[in-house]
Amino acid sequence: MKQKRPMDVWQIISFVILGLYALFLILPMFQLLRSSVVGADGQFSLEYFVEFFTKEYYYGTLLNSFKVSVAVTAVSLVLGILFAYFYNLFEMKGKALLHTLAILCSMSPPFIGAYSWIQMFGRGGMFTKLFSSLFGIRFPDIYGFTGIVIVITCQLFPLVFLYIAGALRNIDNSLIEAASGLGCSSLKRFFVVILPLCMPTILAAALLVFMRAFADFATPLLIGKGFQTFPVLIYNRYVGETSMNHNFAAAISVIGIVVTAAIFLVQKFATTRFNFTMNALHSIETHKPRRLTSVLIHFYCYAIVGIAMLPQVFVAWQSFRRCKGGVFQPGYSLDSYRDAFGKIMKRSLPNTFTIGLAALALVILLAILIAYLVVRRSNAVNNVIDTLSMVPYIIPGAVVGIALVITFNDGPLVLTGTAAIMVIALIIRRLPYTIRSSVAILQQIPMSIEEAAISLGCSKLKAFFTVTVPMMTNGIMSGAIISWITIITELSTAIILYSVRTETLTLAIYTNVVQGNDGVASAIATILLAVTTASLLLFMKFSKTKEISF
Amino acid sequence: MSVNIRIDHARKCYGSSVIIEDLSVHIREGEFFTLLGPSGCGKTTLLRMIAGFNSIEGGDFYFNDTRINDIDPSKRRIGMVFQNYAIFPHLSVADNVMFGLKNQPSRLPKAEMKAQAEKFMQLMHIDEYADRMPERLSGGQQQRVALARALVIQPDVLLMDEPLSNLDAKLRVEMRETIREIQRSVGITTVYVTHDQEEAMAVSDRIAVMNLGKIQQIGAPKAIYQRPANLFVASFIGRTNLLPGELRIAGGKAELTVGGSCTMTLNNLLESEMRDQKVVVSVRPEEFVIARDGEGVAATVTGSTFLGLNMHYFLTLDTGEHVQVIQEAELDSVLPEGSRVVLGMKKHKLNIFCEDGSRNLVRGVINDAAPAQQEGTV
Repeated sequence: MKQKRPMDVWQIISFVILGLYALFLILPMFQLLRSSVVGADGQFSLEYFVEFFTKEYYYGTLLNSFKVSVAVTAVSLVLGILFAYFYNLFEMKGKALLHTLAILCSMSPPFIGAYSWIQMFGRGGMFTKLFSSLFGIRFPDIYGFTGIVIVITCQLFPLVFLYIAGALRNIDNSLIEAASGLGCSSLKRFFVVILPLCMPTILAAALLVFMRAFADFATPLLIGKGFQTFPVLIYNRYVGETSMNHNFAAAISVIGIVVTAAIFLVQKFATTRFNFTMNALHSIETHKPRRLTSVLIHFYCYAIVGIAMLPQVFVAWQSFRRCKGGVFQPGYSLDSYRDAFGKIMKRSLPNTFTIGLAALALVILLAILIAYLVVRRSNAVNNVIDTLSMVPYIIPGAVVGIALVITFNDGPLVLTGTAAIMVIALIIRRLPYTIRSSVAILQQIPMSIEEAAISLGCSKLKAFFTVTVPMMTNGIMSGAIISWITIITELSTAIILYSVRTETLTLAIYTNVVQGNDGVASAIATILLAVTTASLLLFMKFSKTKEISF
Repeated sequence: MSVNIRIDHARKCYGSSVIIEDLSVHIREGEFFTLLGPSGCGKTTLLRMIAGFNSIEGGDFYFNDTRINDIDPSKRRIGMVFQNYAIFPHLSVADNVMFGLKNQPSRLPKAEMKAQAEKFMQLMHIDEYADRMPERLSGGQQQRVALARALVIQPDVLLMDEPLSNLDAKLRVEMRETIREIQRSVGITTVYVTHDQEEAMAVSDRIAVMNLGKIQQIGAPKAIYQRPANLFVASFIGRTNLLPGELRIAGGKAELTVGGSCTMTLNNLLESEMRDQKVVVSVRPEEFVIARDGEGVAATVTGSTFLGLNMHYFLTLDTGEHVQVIQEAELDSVLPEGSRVVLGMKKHKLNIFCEDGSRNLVRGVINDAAPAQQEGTV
């Protein structure tokens, strides 16, 4: 006998979400692909791809991006893993401070680092001038490959640290004791026990760092000079193509997606070799290092965090300097802030909050619903949603922007230049992360809790909202705060989609940097830093867990 | 109000894998009915079909005369107790207990709800924790909350899915007595799932032994222990030794030869099975009698364990089979390893199965699962 039940509410939600993905993800990706193979004459053509791979000017950017990403990933992993190891295994002073600062560094708006490093060590940079006049020392050139790697690494190694520190907390102390009981020295333990146990997390962190470095657009744009990377090329071609068809940018975007998808698959394959989960009853105990070791460990941890914090501190300091016509004068004043507030009060500040909060609310709602469908209602449709939800993870931000522009520039639904398209782009970019963390939270909540509620007379939807959602709240909040910060500091998609009406704080900094209003740029950057720091501290005060999930 | 539960030709499959092919069972009003079987036998699946958390691919489920197949679980008037208790961690004990009352179609006045919750919390001895959050309760206390929460809505059926398996051994015994007591006093039809045969025997009015999605036997604990319907039931319920044997009919009498040499005359075989055939003899450890000499199978003692109440012997028959024997522990000395003994059998207690183990050849098997096969007389 066949079951004939009315459509259950979750099935309706499934189809609505699938519809949204079709409209805002599949369609744009399809349009992107289509534009990339339409020649100047409107016929099918692979001319852009041919052009890309035959001219070194173009394919060189791909190699450059690779070089940058590999270098950043390697350096970040080494710095971050060592930092996490010291942090978790040894007694250290000011651990809470280090942890908070690491989070702050990883959250800093993407290009403030680049901007600040230029202001410090660039050609006209403060330290450059200072050192050459005082000691006659000339710093090596900050621009190009070195600069990009330094700036991006400073932002990403704290991320590796946070990831690995989390993984180390999940290693049970008994494993370490067992290893030493079996005659494993401290150094050997690190390589044969601790590192392999952290491998799934290391690989996850490596992928995240690689993807971020590969897709980072603002840093190479500002500090790259002649060293052009892939996202910068996409942006330049997009801006350069004045007509409404962005075919060449689309073609480059397609190549970009193929590359990131390949990296993603390689990482997935590598991860299958380390398929285990851990849950520590007793985390690893810290122990007191010998005096010399202790000094070295403290020096290492504070030095790298200090360097990573430097650009933000510098920008904040610079924002209080007297500045006239874009040139800094001796002395301090609040003029930059006066000018800055005059510029941002009307648009960017309110925009940042309205667009950001709208995106955040929708991201959380969608993530909870999708996580529920994926975890609790596994079926063909929801598996498709699961796969689709991860697609944006591998699409560089600039590509998301271009795909949306191509799709919603004309036709039945015109969204370009509206706040809606900004919100949509932010949702697309942020959703995969929030879904992953929501899925992880939901998997910890046994289904029987909800069934208990249903057996006690709750409808399915009511059981979900009165029992499951409240149980997820703490975890969702920690994800939400990170989402909020990434949303308000997003640049690479926004820069393609924004119009005068939808300028946000991040974009305001960028435009002022480009226009050379260093004082105002520094002031706005400091305001943005203050907002992110305040959000973070607020979160840490109210959250029960100190865990931060990205 | 309690109900009887009738399940006719239930079918459950996930895609192409069939978990339950065709299962029928009638559960009487007010009875404590246990689904017992090894993991993967489909017992939890069946329970969840009754609850409504698993879809039903075929057959009819009735509470009294109401077909419940298409009724939403929230409207089936069931009380469910889960293996992991499923206590809402964000609600206090009292709020957990009241949760169901707040969701009933006809809501009681608030004071009445409080009184009801209070009554059941007292019944389960958790009233003193009313304002505590669940994370501060022990496993046993959480289970009591779960039971109070399920019963307070006065469901028609109480469903319990391995409710004791997360508790330690001592608490398990204590809780199963509590559960049994409460069930008796409330008089609610209860379906209980467990893989622990001792627990099943302790609490149930009747037990359905399941394997591979099929009910092997339904009967009172005593009936299924003493006269198992087939070899699976014999070995799953309690412990048993299985020995090959041979049945020979001579002059209207059944002669059983077991362990090579030992022959005995049986007078409790089913008429329909009175023919020469190979059989499997199930001898429970307490059905052996160890003697120095006399009638029986020759064996050598290979080891022993003293368990206080009983003495546990491990022996090897001369034909090579290993058997276990349980004897009351006496004050005199233990049989040392290597002792030569003769094992006698309490032949009226033996169960004799056809060679493939599918039927018990002895009269007196009670099996409510298959009325057609109920050939024996009690």
